[in-house]
Amino acid sequence: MSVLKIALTKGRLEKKTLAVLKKMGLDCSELESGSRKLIYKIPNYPLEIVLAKAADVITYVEHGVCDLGVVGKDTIMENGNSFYEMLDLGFGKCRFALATKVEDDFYSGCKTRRIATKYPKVAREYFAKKGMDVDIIKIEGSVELAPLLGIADAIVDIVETGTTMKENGLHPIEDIHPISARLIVNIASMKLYKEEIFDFLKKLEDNLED
Amino acid sequence: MKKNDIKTPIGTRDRLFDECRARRRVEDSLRSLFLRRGFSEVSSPSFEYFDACLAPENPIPQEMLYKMSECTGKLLVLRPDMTTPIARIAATKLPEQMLPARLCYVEKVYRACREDKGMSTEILQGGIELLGYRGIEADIMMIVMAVDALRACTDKKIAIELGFSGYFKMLAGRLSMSDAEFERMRTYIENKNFAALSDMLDGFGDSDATRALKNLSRMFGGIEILDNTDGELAYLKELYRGLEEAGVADVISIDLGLVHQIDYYSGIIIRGYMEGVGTPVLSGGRYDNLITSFGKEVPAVGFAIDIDAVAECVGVEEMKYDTLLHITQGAVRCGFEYLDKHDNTTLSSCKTIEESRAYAEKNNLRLLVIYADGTILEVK
Repeated sequence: MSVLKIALTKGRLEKKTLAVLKKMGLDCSELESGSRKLIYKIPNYPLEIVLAKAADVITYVEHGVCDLGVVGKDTIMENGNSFYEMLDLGFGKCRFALATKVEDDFYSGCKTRRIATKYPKVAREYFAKKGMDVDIIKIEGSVELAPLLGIADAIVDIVETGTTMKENGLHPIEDIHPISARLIVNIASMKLYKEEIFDFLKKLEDNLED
Repeated sequence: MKKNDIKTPIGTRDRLFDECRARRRVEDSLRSLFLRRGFSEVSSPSFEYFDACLAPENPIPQEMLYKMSECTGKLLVLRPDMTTPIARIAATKLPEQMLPARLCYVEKVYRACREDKGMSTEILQGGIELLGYRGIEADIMMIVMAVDALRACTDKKIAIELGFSGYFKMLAGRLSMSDAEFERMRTYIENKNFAALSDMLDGFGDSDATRALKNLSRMFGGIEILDNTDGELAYLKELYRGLEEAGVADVISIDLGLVHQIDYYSGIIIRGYMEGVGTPVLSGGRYDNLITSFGKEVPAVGFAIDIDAVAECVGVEEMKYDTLLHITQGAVRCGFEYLDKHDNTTLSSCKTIEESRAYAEKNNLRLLVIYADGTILEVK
């Protein structure tokens, strides 16, 4: 039986995924020992776990150096290209939203709006679908700053509770897309190791919370 | 050193020694198989007129085309695939009486991609096309060729999967959908995004078509997935029986969710995989309508193999020499003749016999010195 490699997004999604893997009966003790390793062998299942940053999970799965990956829908929408997106894992829930300063009316006037975001592709596609021409400006850190400093009219960002926005005088005006963790599969792996992958997916799905 | 001296353009690379040999070996295996099986080689220019590559059926978007201009001012592109040149050849160069025709090629194609994604922009492809031949025998022949072509390159595990564009189109045709909705549904099926597909189709009521479409992304595996399916898929069953007879059924699987480039293909879709490569190494299918856009109705089926991806995975054995030959002044002709006759011998690049001796000692080789009169001495 071939050993599958799964890439997990480091941090919160990793913890949640490990909880499910443990429910499946997989021995994940080495991962929880505070070790700094990046690749772990599971002693009682033909599986290796790779820890990576979200966008890298996609790169590794697309190139087929990892067969499976757990990554947020946000990263898939911004960086995704060709792989199978097979399971909605149901955790890591939040959403993409368009937000402005509370006092602003985003749609008034004829000026081309400028949108600040960490997710230029998501923003570009959202406004393309609306048939609206906008300027997009990529911001790396706290995107909420951009409208406050006056460099942008609105932001496209992930909203979980909305607290940061509220404290900074912003509010979401439109939901763009719901987000949750997804299980992705390399296309070639799926065809070459279908049995192993389906077996794993089935067990994983059975142990997800509703 | 100037700014662009070190780096080759995005997605390209220099290939040295073993990389070239590995590529050459795959290329040679494929070409000799194609020729043995009655396919004749053709070659076309690396660039084409821009509008020739912009047929509405062509699945390659214009941002993936490298563009330049001719001295007349006409816009040119580096060809993004070999199918378009083959279609042009079929429609404009092959006289009617030469059809059906079997063509093969080994050529480079060019597709721009984003920076730093680790993708190739210059891709060496080996492929075949069967023109003017409709029907199940042609499809079977092509699929068996696909299996044999990958087999000719490697002993590693391979898999060939078949899709069938007509089934999806037929089901989708029964629902009234906008183009945008159709594309969204197609993407969900292609990505095997079960949950999103099911949610979307709930909005189209409950019918045989929606149920079949919901199931489509799960419809992949062995021939058993066609159990309990109706007449529309009878063709695939018959095809599979033909492949069993040809002795290749063990590596064949079926994926009815293979719906990429759906406007391009008009029948079977073929994709091939090889253990150790994370992307399809073989891609093709039947496209009976493409050549029509060049003004002649010629049905066609074909596939192309990504030679570089296969070569990188298969690799090559190290060259084995046990003898080093030092050619002294005036001995070039007889030295070369000796090399021609002895596979185990390589030429020394050293200037003096002393340097050659040191090199031979270091690399554990026997050293021969050849003189102008043809005398050969072994140096200890």
